[in-house]
Amino acid sequence: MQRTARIPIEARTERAAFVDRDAPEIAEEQEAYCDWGDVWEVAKAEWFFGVGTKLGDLSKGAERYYPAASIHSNLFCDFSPEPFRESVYWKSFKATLGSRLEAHDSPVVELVFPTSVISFTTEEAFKALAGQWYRETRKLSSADQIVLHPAYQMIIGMGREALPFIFRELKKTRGHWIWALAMITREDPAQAGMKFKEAVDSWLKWGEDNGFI
Amino acid sequence: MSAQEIESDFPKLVADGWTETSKESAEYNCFAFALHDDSDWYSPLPLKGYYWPDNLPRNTALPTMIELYRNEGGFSPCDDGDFENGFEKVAFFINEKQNVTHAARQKPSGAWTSKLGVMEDIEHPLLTSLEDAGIKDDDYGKVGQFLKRPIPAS
Repeated sequence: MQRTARIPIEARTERAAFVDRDAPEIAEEQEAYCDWGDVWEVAKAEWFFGVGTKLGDLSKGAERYYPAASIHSNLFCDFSPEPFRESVYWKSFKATLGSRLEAHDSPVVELVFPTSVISFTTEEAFKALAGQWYRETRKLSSADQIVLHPAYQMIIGMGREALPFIFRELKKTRGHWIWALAMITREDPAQAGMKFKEAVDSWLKWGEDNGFI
Repeated sequence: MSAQEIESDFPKLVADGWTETSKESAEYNCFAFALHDDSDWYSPLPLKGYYWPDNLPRNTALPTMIELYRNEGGFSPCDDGDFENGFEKVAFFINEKQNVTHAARQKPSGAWTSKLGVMEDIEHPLLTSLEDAGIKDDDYGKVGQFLKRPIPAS
């Protein structure tokens, strides 16, 4: 079973419509978005957010997302558009779509939430996001781009729950996790002038001292 | 990192040829490597562990990167990447946002050497092997600037 929330980005209404795709007759709420016109009708793109599979043409201004395994489940348990817009997830969606959406007068995003998402653990979500992040940033030399990747931002959005998994990954790969750690913990155990290798060592010691490793 | 993954990220290397010259490492990036530094990750990101000179703007726009290489390595802009005896050259790749995304260094043989993100260092005969449209977030773009410096007499 899936729940669908349709959200206009430039909101003409703040209400969201939840539709059970397998049983639309029991929709919790129906909201008519007559202003969408054909923008909604041409939505054909499907993107398995977090899993990294992108299908179809994303140029139409209306997108369909299947958050699948990588979305932190708590986000959707009590879903409403307003807090979602303030969340890092929403910023990630917007950053991903970028100018394609800005080009439309009434762009919309359709979010499709499989019910099974709720049962995914933080560890499973972390693994999916970390894998996507590595695949899509491994060739980059700009640390800014590396840490602004939507999957990395979503891991930061998981908060302290993600720390044991981040430290495990840092110990294994010695990759660019120190920004996420600094953002989540609001700490920085590294010293000024340290090289990246030394900063990683400082973070690993901090992780041990604080029981995350 | 497997050769398959490198060739997947840079498909033109398959036909153009390349050689792996190091193990993968997240401890330094191409901007450091082009300056013969394999212990720093050059980045304007404001976090301890990343290296960026205090006197430079925190961005990777071309003027900033030219100044970075002038200060750190004595490089100056030049017209092309043709091999010149007595000089070492660097090529900057620039994406459509006009940010420098990658630096490759010319070796005494005339071939180029690059550190590919957190992956390995490679030697590649052609700069164009790493070029792409420069549109996607992980694209390198095209070579847009060459720099050179005299090689000190040893």
